[in-house]
Amino acid sequence: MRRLVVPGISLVLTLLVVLPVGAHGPDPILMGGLYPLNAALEYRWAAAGTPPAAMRTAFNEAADDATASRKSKAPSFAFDSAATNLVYYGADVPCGINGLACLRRTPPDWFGVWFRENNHRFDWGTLKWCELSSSPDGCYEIENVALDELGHVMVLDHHDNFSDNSDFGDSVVQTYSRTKAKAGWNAHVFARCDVATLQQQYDVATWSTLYSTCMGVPTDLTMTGSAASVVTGSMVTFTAVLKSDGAGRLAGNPMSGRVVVLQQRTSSGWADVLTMGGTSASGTYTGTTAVRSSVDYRALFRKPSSEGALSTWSSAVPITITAACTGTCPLVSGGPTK
Amino acid sequence: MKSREVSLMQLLPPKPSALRIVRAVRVVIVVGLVSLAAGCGSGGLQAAPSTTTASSTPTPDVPSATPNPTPVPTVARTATPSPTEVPGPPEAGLGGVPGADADVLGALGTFTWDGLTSDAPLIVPSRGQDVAPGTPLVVTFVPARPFDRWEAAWAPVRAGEAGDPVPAGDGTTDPIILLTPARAGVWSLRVQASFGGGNHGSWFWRVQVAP
Repeated sequence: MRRLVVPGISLVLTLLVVLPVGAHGPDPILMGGLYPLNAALEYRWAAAGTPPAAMRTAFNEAADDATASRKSKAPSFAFDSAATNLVYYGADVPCGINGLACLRRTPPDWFGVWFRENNHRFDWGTLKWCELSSSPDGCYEIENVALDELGHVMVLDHHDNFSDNSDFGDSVVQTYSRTKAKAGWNAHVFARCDVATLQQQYDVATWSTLYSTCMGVPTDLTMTGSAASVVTGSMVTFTAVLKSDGAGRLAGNPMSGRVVVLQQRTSSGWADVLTMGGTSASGTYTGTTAVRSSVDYRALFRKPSSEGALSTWSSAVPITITAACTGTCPLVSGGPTK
Repeated sequence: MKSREVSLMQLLPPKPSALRIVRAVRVVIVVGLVSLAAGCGSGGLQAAPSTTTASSTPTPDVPSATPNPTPVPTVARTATPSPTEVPGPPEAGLGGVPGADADVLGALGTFTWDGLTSDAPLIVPSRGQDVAPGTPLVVTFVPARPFDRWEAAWAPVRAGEAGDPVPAGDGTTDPIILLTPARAGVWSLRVQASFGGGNHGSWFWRVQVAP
């Protein structure tokens, strides 16, 4: 019987084409829900497992790192001696037999983070926290691991890397943190795929916050003109509104601080006329130009390399010339025209 | 606030369940029988060193290719369960290892289970199994659980540390079958599986491939 099974398995394996699997995108999310937008989460040291001073300092710095680099309305973190959320350091950790650190989250009520004690001897080796030792190669940096844990607290699950880990730098919330001095061992800010998920889940921090390049957020652009038909040389003001058109919290957000260009149709396509200026109204841009012939205009948002918002353009806005200018003509470029 | 503090401290590391104790005892018996009568097999899970208590091992900062020379006694797995036991991921057994009388338990790595997320390193267990290139191995979970997806990777072990993993397969259904690498050497086998409900885990084995 065994003689039949093994060749059968081998045949199946021979036929099975195993392709490298890699998925690059925003971090997955943990179950359990979210905190309120911009929640201020405070933590304190567990009385029965107060971290040593160097770890407290590193964790506080990680809290600052998380708050500063979230680029979203995800929670912020700060120490408060009266907080209910706890950070523990010591031997009694629920992290499984090989865990370096772990956390439990029950938003919006509570979270706890545990760090295994320095010099803990695992089957595979001895744990060295860089800040608690002489920082030898192979140690784990507390600040980096703490930032990973705080990302979990927010909602982030481990990033799904390419099979060759070439995108390790796109996330701090990694399945396997790196030790000193491997690339990424001491990253102190959320990377683009961490931020992408935080923005998807908690929305962008402000309307001018750039969307993470780890995602491609559709956008929508509309434009109107101050007049549909004018005499030659009249000034027409165009008003464009740029909004995100993503899913969930990334739907319908005004997008301020971007570059929106006014274009006019030419015989060979569209040509830039001017860059529209932002206004006090969120996501709104205006531009004024003299119209000398009947022509279509549109607004264009080009995807910048620094942002994950996709290019878009408005519908064409036709401006019709009704008559040539006679008598007192509109002012154009500092002087009258005819 | 006080109750929170208490609950935090009560969250102790997962301890062997009664089932695991019974299994461990059975394994001890089986191992004993096997030592008395070579050739007698067993279908149970054999305790693996990588999932037991810590022992004298090389440190990650001073890596060594030499595996832990001190076998970890299987009796360590018969510790009394704690009343504050936290349910955790299942154990994973590696079957099909030539010469092994039972499936070899994997070392639990990073996991998320019932709201608890634990971060572990890329583990290179201190002791491994000797297999020939192209040997089919089968991974099973104990207790058996339906999973949504699994994926596996082989990472070459150099100077005691795992290098970049090479995909070894993935799928959504049983059985999880893997072929050992064609290239001789020491490898860390990693199997990750997700079980629905946001629960997932990873397990590691050290495999020494020799022609």
